[in-house]
Amino acid sequence: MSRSLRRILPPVTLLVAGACALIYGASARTVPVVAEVMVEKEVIVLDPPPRDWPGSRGGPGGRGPILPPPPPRPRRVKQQVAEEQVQVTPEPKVTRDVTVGGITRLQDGRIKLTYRPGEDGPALCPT
Amino acid sequence: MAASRLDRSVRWLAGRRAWVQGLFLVVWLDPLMLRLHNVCGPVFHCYSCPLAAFACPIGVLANFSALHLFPFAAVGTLVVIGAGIGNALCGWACPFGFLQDAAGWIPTPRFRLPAWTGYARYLVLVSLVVVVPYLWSESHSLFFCRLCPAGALEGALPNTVNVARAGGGIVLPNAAKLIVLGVVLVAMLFTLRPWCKVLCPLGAVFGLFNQASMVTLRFRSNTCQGCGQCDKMCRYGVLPNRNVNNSRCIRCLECTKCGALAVGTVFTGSAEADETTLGPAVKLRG
Ligand code: SF4
Ligand code: SF4
Ligand code: SF4
Repeated sequence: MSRSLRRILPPVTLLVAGACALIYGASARTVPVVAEVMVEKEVIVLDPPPRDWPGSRGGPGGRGPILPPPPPRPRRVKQQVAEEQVQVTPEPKVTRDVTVGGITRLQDGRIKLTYRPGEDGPALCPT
Repeated sequence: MAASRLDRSVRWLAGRRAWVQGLFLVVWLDPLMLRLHNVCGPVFHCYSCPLAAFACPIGVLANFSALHLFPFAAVGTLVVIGAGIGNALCGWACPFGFLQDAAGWIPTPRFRLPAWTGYARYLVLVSLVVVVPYLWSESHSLFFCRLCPAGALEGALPNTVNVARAGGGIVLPNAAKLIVLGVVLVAMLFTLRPWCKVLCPLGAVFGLFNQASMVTLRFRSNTCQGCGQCDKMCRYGVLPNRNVNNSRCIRCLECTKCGALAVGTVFTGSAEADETTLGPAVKLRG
């Protein structure tokens, strides 16, 4: 190999490799991140027994046995509940999150956001 | 040999390095408040600083290590810059380097640190930036950012003031960080760029590229008079006439005031048979 080629090859190779890593990291690389998101779900709730029900004060005039309340009736309602979701997160977003301590690695190896998407994340690096 | 136009321009620029460092401050201090913290910056400037334009590369490397992820964009940024211009950002753009240079203007007695102390930078890089976060996560007390003097000066202290001004009381930052900052600030008065020379992991990374970057320093031994002036000009202890492109060189270009040293690229300047661009190995010298 000629002397000038020996001189040119290392920086050019490094430059190309670095540029590839940079382009890949900035535009294509994604990381699965667990995030706690609020989702609207239909849940079944049992209403508390009414305070007054027929027979709660006994029979007419307060005489006679007090009757048990009617059984609660299940009701379907829509509620916001927290649910863990795996989000495909681009590397630049992960970079932004680490600058404010907004992302951490759990014991089981999963990577998790420390705040809920859509809410204000932490503003400052915790260190 | 008469100095070429490029040589003369380089010398002119070398005399105005502080101005260039000052201009770069404007870039890092985010005057447009863009807060591009999803982009890894190339200099040692803390992303906790209320005026930080980009994410700090060392903070990103350490945190990605804690997440067990390879930081492609951050590594790519450092490799592109290193392979392009070697360690020049340390000499011309890094705000923490500029602070240390500015401390160098204070007339106090200065001591030279032995060259071997420069190896500590690699120890810091491998242990505190990569291994500790990987094994013990970002909450470990030896996690690099918990000890970082730039983080203390640019992030922790201004934020303490901001919180206090907003009525949140005085919440003192991490003591270890403040102690390291105090030691570095005092050391700046007695030796030039102590943090850069001994402990900075980012300087360690860029320094590795000095021997294999597109832009290089050239030592033209055929024009060297053997007067040793370049050794005296180099305030960073590099001995450019013996070990040009040493990993400690911050490419300040002071030594190019001697005609035997010049800036070149790997594509040019091969006409002079006896010029040296690549040293035998990455060496640290005092
Ligand atoms: S604490 Fe230091 S290493 Fe960490 S982000 Fe700030 S400047 Fe970078
Ligand atoms: S060695 Fe570190 S602190 Fe010094 S100029 Fe380079 S990046 Fe900045
Ligand atoms: S050898 Fe010394 S004087 Fe020359 S560019 Fe490097 S640090 Fe500056």
